[in-house]
Amino acid sequence: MSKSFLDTKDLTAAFSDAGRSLLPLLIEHLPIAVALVDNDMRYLVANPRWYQDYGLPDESIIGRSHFDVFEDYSDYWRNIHGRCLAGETLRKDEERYVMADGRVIWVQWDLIPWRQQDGSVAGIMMFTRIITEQVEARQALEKQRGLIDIVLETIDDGIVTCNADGKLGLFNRATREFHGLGPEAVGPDDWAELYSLFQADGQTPMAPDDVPLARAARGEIVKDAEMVIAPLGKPPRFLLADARPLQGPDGSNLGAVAVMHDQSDLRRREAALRLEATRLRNAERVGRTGSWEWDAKTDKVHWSEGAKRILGLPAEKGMDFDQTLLLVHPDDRQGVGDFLRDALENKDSYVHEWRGMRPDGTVHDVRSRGEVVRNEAGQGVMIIGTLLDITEFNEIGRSLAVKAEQLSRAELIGRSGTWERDLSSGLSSWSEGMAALLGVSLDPTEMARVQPGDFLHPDDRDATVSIISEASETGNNFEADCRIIRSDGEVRYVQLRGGFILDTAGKPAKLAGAMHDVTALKQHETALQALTERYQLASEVSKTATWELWPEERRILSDENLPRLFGATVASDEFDNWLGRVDPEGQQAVDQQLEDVVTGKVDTLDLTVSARRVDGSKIWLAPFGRAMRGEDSLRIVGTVRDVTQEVVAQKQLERQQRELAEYAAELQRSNADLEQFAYVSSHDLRAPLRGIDSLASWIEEDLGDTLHGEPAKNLALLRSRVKRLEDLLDALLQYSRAGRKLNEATVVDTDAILHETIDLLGLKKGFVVEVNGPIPAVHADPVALRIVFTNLIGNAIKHHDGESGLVSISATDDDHMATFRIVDDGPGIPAVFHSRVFEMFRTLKPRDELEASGMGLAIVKKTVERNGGSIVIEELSQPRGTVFVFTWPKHETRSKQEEIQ
Amino acid sequence: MGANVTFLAVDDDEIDLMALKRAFRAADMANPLISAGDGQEALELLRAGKVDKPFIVLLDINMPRMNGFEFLDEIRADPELLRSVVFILTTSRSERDVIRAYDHHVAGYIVKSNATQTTKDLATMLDSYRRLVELPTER
Repeated sequence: MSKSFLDTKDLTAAFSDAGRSLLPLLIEHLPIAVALVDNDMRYLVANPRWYQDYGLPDESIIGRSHFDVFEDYSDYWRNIHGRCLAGETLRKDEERYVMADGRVIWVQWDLIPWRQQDGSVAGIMMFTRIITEQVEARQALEKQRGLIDIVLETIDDGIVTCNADGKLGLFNRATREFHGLGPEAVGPDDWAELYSLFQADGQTPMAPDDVPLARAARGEIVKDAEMVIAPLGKPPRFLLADARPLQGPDGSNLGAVAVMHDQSDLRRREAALRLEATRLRNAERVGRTGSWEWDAKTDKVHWSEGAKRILGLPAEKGMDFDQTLLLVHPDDRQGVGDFLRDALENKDSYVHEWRGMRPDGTVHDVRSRGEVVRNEAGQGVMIIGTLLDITEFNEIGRSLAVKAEQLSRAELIGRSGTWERDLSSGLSSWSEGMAALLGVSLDPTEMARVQPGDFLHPDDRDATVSIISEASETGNNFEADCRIIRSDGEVRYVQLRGGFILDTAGKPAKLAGAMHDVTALKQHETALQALTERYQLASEVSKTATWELWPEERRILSDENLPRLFGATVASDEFDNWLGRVDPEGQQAVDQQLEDVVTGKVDTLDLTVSARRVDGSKIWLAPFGRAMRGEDSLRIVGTVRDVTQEVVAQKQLERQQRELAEYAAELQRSNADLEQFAYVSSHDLRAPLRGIDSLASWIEEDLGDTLHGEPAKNLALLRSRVKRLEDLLDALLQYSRAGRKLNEATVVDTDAILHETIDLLGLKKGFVVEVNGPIPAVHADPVALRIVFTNLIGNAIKHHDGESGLVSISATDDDHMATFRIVDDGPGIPAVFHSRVFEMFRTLKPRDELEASGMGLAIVKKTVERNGGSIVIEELSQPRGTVFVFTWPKHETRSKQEEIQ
Repeated sequence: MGANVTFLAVDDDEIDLMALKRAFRAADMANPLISAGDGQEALELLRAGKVDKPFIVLLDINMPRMNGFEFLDEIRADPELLRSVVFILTTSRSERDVIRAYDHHVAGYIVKSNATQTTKDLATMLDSYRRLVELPTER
């Protein structure tokens, strides 16, 4: 365009062809300033823009010299114009120009010489364009670019670019530092290795394809890719990389840019923070503490993990104040709410204890400490607090109180006390038990007045004090047995134990000790000693040794009585030494029982064995022991007693019993023989007797009336003697049968039997038998009972010396026996005969005077006794009358044993 | 009938036999009375056919050689003699003896106590018995 415009020929043609009138119009409206001067620099043409751009006055400058118009025309411009007038075309893209009013503008100018037809330079065509704005904009941009460069060089993030061919471009300072290298002329495939890129773990080398810049170069947008740069000899850096492809406005591929953010410090800080948080959590957990915040404005409550643990809160849970209060024990809830609200308003800090109740219902004690945060207006806006679970402390406190109480009680019960004496101040403090021991009060003033030493018994004082002072020198604990005199004057035996508590310098600072009343123990000791002596004596006298046996080791420990039993002088703990003295059979028995104990079959050892003493004499020993089973040990503890005398006595007794049994059998045989004899003899004797009687009666019959006088009387006597002998034989037979079981014994109506017997007796005239009161039933064979009554009542009447008489019968009874009394008013039996009347064939009068066998009472006695009763004649004060008293069992009394016998 | 019943008295006591004879006489009993001193002799007489049938045995218990029970054992075991009518005539009042006698199927057990009177009663009883009671007679 400018070419054709500047062609003079064309210009001429334009002027000539398109009309000269249009050209000025064109020039006038050109957006650039245009002027034409001649070779004298006088203006030929200047368009309005020229005027406007250079701030020229309104009057025309045509015809005026350029030097006039621009007063400060400089040599710079004279030179330039001269060169142009000399035919040179000149151009400057940016020319700084100071206006007349001092404004600086930037101008782009073109100076072109115009020539005449002959080619000589006729003047200059001047074109200028004000480009101040463009220049200033460019300058500002350049300034900005410099800033960006500085920024790129100074920021800590690494920025790197590559072009479409994978050539590295921008590589800022941080990047260089990261890698310890600048941009090298290597392709993307070598970046990972060259620049020491690793994956996030810092260990695994990064694959070339994974390099963020390479990925971006392939068109990918990479965000927050973790990577590690670890050049040899440098600490690894943890980086977060962003990368994106670069595109021209037309979508062309301009390469890619990557930004790497160094997170190493952040990582370290995070790790430290995590550690800190963990420590805090652990501290909270271990310390049973937690913290919390209450933002009063938002009514949000935040709990630390520890606080949640204390309160039993489940997971992350937002809470407001009122919900928080639900974690407080219902009894304390109102109080805690009021307290915190009050604290928010009126307090700066507080300490408060309350009980919490966890959602699972467990109750715990909490100490809450808090500070109130206030705004400028002094309003409480937040409470920051800590919680401490003091359940354990409280429990410990409570149990300590209980322990102290127990200790105090234990001291009193155990007759013990403790005291402490500060050596520098000389002040003592005593426990309650100590005060009770000494019989003083716990009053501090009194305690200050007296010393434990004041109570020492004068006789023991010096010894005790010297023991204590010796301990103060050696630093050892001391122990002393001594007596004290209580405030009430009573003397007690005590045991003192104590020691010195050293100060930091190692010098005794305090004397502390315990006193234990051993008076009772002393008494017990004395008693025990006496007991031990008695035991010694007793075991010696009773010939008993005590021992402890380890059967598996065959080891025995014994007192000195064991060797003594064997007549040995030396003790031995080898069991077999002692067992060897036992007879073989006994050894076997002992070993068998030991084995049974060892195998757990039995727990006791109990037998009697014979053994030889050292002097060869035979003894009998009775070892007895009980197994003591430990974890894996077994011992038997017991005694061994010399039972020789007992065994000998036992053997003698057994022999006697055997003899007795033989004797009893013999007796039984002889009794049976006797009965047989009585039976046979009564029968055999009776036969001839009957013969005699028959013969006598035949003589009487045959002689008839011719028999009289002496022969008749003798014959009568003969027959009466036969009769007496027959009666005696009958009685003898009866006696032999007495007590023999005839009928089954049952409980019988004694009263009925008695009356029956009386009826059968056929009483003599003038005699009365009366039965007084109730007669108890007894257990009897009715026949036996009848024999007894018949004989006793019959005797009473038969032996009565009067014309009339009275026999009275009465009875009493207890649970087992009935007692019968048969009382008569006859002549009585002299006391000397009381026992003899029960003998066989015993009569007190000649038989010619009173015909009697003398067997009646013998039969009665035998019957009563065979039935388990007894009979006596009662001693009477009056001369006449006899009282027979006999007993009879009411129930079956014979044991099976007796039955068999 | 009955007039020809033979009595065999087995007793070792001669006086008892005499008493029996006196009683028979007193009761006008003409029946033959054979006596044997003990069971052995009585058994021999019976087995020898020396005692005519029908007969009644009057048997004592205590006797030498063969006593009354041993004699009873023998005749009760002997088919020829097992139906013999036997009265025990003894001094024994023993219950055991009484029971044992009846176990041997005796016709009666009579205790000789008051010698004279008993024997008289016995004779009277036996007289009535021999007249009223039918006895086995077959050979």
